[in-house]
Amino acid sequence: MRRLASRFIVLSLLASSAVAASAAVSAPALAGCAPDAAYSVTNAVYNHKDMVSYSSAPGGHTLSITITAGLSVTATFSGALQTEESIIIASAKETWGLSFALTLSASIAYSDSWTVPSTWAHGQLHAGADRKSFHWSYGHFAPTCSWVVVRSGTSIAPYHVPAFWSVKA
Amino acid sequence: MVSILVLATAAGCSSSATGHSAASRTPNSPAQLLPSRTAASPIGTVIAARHGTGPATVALTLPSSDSRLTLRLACDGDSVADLINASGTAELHVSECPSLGVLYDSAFKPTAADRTIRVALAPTTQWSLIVWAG
Repeated sequence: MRRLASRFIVLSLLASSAVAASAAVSAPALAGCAPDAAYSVTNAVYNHKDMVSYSSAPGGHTLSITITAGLSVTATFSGALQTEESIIIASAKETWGLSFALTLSASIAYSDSWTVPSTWAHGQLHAGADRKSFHWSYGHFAPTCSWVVVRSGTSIAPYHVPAFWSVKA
Repeated sequence: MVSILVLATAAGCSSSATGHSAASRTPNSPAQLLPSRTAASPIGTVIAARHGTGPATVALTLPSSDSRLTLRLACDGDSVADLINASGTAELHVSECPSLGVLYDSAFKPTAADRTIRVALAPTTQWSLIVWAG
């Protein structure tokens, strides 16, 4: 049962402030398992977020978008305390090895272009950020060594700007 | 209140897409980093540079039938924007204009219908258009 802990990113030190209000977490262990608190992030799914309006044109046209510095995209959370958002981001970084951030900004100008295939009636060129949506949970071990989820929710967090993608319209 | 960006940029290349929805995504091409806002212009010479507020029509003198036309639009306001030629073809569509600081280019081989370009957007939307041919 203790092996279950390997499935979780244990961030006890980081988590301590976030979980101070949780009596269940601070309760002493009565039996075989210490009440290690941990965050778990699972079920990551890729998506992208437009940071600017997209453009479109007929087939054969070459579309370009230039975005200038200063645009930003921010992570969203459901069910999380504000104080633990950075911990969830840290867990996601550790789990998937990507540069997740609460906020990502375009620090310089970026440009990309794409030619709409001539066989298409129209194509769209988008510019934005790469993100992943994932499920997060915060919990601890009960004295009986079962895992107790204290809070859980979903997050959509950016990890790369810029991203350009094209869509048939 | 609004500054119209008149930027000259160099564009990179990306691969074609095959999807039909927003979920279909091309591999990212390496984004071309611009050293400054005065980077290289599209190929050709500027044949028109206009700015204004609300709808307008811009007449173009096309140098030859083989010329490639590049339309560059920046706009700011609460509307979509279209650059439409005389035959009614939208040579460039921008989904929403509150995009100050964003430049949209559309490059293509023009036809006779492209001798006039209608800037279609809301009456209060500010815009800037530069056209290169070459």
